[in-house]
Amino acid sequence: MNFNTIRVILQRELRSLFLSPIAYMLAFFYLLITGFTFMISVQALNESPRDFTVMEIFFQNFFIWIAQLFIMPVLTMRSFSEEYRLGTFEGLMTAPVRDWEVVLAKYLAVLAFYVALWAPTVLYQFIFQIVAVTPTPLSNGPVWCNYAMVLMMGMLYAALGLMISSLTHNQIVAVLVSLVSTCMVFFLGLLNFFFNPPGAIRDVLSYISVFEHMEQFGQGIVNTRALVFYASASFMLLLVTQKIIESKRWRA
Amino acid sequence: MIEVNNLVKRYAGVEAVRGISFSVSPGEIVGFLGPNGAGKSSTMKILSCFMPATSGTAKVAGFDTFTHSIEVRQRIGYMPENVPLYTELTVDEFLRFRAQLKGVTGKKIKTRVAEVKALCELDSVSKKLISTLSKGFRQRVALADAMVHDPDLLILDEPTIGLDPNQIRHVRDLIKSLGGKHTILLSTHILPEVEMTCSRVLILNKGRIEASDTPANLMRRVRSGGAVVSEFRAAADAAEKAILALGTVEECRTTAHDGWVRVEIFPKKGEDVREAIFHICARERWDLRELTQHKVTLEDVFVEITQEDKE
Ligand SMILES: Nc1ncnc2c1ncn2[C@@H]1O[C@H](COP(=O)(O)OP(=O)(O)OP(=O)(O)O)[C@@H](O)[C@H]1O
Ligand SMILES: [Mg+2]
Repeated sequence: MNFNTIRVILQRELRSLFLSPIAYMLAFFYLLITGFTFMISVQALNESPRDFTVMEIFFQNFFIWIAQLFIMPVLTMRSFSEEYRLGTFEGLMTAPVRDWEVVLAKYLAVLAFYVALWAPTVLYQFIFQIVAVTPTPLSNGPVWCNYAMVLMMGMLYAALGLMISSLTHNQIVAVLVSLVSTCMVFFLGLLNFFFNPPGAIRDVLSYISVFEHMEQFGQGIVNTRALVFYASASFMLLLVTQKIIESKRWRA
Repeated sequence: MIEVNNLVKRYAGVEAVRGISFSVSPGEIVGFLGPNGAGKSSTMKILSCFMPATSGTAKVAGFDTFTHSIEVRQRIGYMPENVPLYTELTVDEFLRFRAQLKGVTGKKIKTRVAEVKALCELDSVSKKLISTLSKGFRQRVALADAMVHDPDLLILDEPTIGLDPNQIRHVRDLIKSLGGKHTILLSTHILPEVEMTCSRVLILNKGRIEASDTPANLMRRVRSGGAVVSEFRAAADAAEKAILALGTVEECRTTAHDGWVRVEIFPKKGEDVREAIFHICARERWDLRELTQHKVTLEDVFVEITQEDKE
């Protein structure tokens, strides 16, 4: 494993992500949504005292989680598609780099950008503490569990988006297919609420149910099976991505 | 440095490369010629490890391009034909990125980038975004990229396309100066360039190698070598008869107009018929107004080899 290669590609990916207008639009809407949600959370606390900290209320808002469905398809749409379209893929793959180093670097770049989008929300609670009239407790276990959930969700959706981007030259196709796939993964987990499937199917659906994981982590329950699910699913998707870029060249 | 054995590349339906074998020794500058669609770029993409061959093997510096592709890629500087560049970077940023990607480290990054920028005359655009560069400058950035890690072997796919005449000359001199220390395989459609720079020429046609020799040897082989064009005042049939009577002529074509006759004479190998033509004209009292020997160029070689089956 050559960390230098990964670092160099990662830097370039981040640079072009941060330089793209899409990134700024995304950051703008993200701040808007999280800011708005935070405001609602504060208002809820204003109306009546609760047993929850402000960030717990913040994460209970469904808005936050729906926004997650859009973000990764947009962040990953260019990853491979753009390189195929511009032909830079040829330059990249004729440098002494391994396929999976490229996949990993692109993956980490997208995740890093995602973390950067989320970082401001950590500040919200401190701001709240400063402006609140009465002393308020800082974030506790459940809030950090929510952040863990945010990260794992990002890991899964990023891997999914990256894989789809590796399939097409067209970033519009990439973003649309990713969006549909991400939504499908999310809503598959909701099926248990609408139907009452027989035992085995129910178990499988609940194992992969992003929604159920959200609830559990929101209550501060660390579901290790869920951790295994996100880690292994992301890993599998990245592995498939590596195979796809390998075969792209095969058929090039 | 390069060893290609029975290389075949088949795309869906098309057989682009049909079992070619050739080798290139260290320090050679080899021109890779062939009509559009001959399979030059395909071969170069296999050599640079971008795609695997359908069958056959290609080795660079003793390493197989398929099983030891990292080792091969470290030793190759490849310039693809469509010059792909990250347009949101500046020239400096791009070259730095490429140098690091190809394993240049520490202080060497800076010195190598500076060196290739100087070699490709890019200093004036260092800080410009690649998206704002003209085609020729992008071409030079791609060439600088190929050289930035000081590779033993340069594979250049049409490096001078889109350059202005000064730059073509500059790049030609650059390539020439790299020879000896570096091995170069370059494809191009600008044949005078090949005549001037390459120590050997490979001509590819429809996926097969049709010729592999020094430019001088190839030119000697050409049928139109020593062909003479002459024009004098005579009847066409009389002129043809007199010329064929020389015995040293293989073929003679005449065209008559306004009492003049223009003859194209293809002498037998190694014969120079110019003097004999003059003597005929003097003897017959024909007014002579042109007598030129056609100078063979690589273009003649190219046309003859790649159009053979059309005739
Ligand atoms: N990705 C591809 N898919 C299918 N066919 C291809 C592909 N790339 C090249 N070909 C075909 O392979 C043949 C050889 O193409 P190649 O690009 O190697 O030619 P070339 O010698 O470089 O030509 P040129 O002088 O035009 O650059 C052509 O018939 C081309 O149509
Ligand atoms: Mg070509």
